[in-house]
Amino acid sequence: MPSTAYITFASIMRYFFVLAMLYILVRITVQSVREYLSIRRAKYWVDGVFAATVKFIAPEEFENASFELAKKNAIGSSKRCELYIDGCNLEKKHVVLIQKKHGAYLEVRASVKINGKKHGKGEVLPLYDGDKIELNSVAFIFNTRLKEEKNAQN
Amino acid sequence: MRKIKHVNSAGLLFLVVAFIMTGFFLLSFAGEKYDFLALLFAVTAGVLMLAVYVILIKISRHADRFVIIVADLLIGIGLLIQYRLNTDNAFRQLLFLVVGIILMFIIMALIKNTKFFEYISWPLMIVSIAVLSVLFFVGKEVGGARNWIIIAGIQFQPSEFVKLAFVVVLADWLTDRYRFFDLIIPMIFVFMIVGILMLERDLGAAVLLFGTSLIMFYVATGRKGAVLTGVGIGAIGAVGSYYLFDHVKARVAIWLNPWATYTTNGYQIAQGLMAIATGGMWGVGLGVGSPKLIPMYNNDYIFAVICEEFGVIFGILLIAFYLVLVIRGAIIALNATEKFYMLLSFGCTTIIALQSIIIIGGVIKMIPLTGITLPFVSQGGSSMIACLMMLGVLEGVSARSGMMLENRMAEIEEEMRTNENEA
Repeated sequence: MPSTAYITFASIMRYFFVLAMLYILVRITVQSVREYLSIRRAKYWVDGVFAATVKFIAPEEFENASFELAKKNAIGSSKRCELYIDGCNLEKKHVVLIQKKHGAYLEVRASVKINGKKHGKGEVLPLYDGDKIELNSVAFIFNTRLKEEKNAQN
Repeated sequence: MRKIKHVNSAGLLFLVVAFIMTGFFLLSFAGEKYDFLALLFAVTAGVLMLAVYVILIKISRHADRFVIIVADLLIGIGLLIQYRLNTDNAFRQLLFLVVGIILMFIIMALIKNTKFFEYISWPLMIVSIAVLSVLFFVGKEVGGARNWIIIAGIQFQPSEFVKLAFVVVLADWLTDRYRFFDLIIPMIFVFMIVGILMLERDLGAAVLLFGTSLIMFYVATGRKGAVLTGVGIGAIGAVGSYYLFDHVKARVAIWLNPWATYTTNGYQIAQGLMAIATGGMWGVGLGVGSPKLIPMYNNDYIFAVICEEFGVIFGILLIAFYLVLVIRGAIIALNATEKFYMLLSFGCTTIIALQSIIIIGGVIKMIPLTGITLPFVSQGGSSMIACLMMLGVLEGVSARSGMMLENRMAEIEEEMRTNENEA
């Protein structure tokens, strides 16, 4: 039979054990979800999902520079943009390049040319591998490993 | 080179080890004299857990860290309770833990690097049926079930190891066979195993393996009709065994009203329920309860003992940890690159899930009680070793999938680099 002192100590410790278990459970769940998301990101990258890049061809100082895109990428002269380009006569947020699971889109906020064709403010256009995007004096090629049917959009 | 970023979980492991050691520290004051052996036991178990984690990550950085941490927590709670109940049993359990860990690493290495398991289904089928059949002649009856063998003075339960063999056989047969006629042999295998277990009165294992086979059939083939037919056959079998076997009738009667036979057949269930009620939400305190009033307190009814001493909230959190283990197992199965390994890991996860549901459900009188162990927690060498072998399967599949994914990432990077150079 345990002593009175032990019974008192054990009675206090029971709250500790329950709260400690709860804390461990919450922490395991949070870290487990992070691990799951990390592996999912890797699998997406292998499949080309959310793995598009842009390669600059103009101006000269940016030529051949390549950037991996995030899910949402604002491109413009504002420092808040994911791709901030200064001194090329761009609007603060010139375009927004959005990646989805099945493809990518360009939200036009100021005048752009895609493969030589002009597009105006407010247009939302799908992007395909190899598309050339021109924003005034800035030009880049959009690259993706996702296989898309160009005709599907038309 | 692009790599998969794994979440650092070493801090979590230290937390789990600290938690277990705190329990042993408390327990060391429980007796009349201070028990240094409890602290020594705790340090040994803690060092073992840390060593296993380090070795696991060294073998493969893609091994699932959370599965091993949850298993460590469950094993730690099991060792704590076993030590509280009987010191000798706790040391024996620690020894079986070491054996189980060695086998876990062997199985993990076999799965990670070879296709060994894909080619042994026929031998495993024959050995499983043979081993269970032998129990009719040389098996020892414990708790009404003839499911124990004694070899060289060591007592073990072959049905625990048959579980893993069962999953391997089914995974192999279901990998690339979909037609009914191609699946006749595994169906016969399932019915033979379940039939033998029913005749040996090992109802828990029979229900567990039948349930696992139905789930694996559905996951592999997607055939709802076939699985529903299986459920129907199982239901007919259950009703039939109720009328044919007196021990099944007795189990159902006890489940429906244990209080009517409180001093005889219903004593175990009634004592278990009273123990859980006595513990209340927060428990009576570690070392303060009366677990030995419950028959089979250290294996079948370990959950009731835990609820009495740590409380119902702790019991619910324990169930939540089993759920985390099952979810991680399912994620490992979904990430597997080959169907065989997907079915193998899913089968092992299903066994852990169903086994936990069946025994906890039996203890809280949700379903009739069957004599199976709570994975990683209950006393029992065969159970511990079998559970760790299944853990080895999960870790091996996780390591293999991670390795293949990273190799694929490296191939793609190389292709991109080549294309850029050509451009």
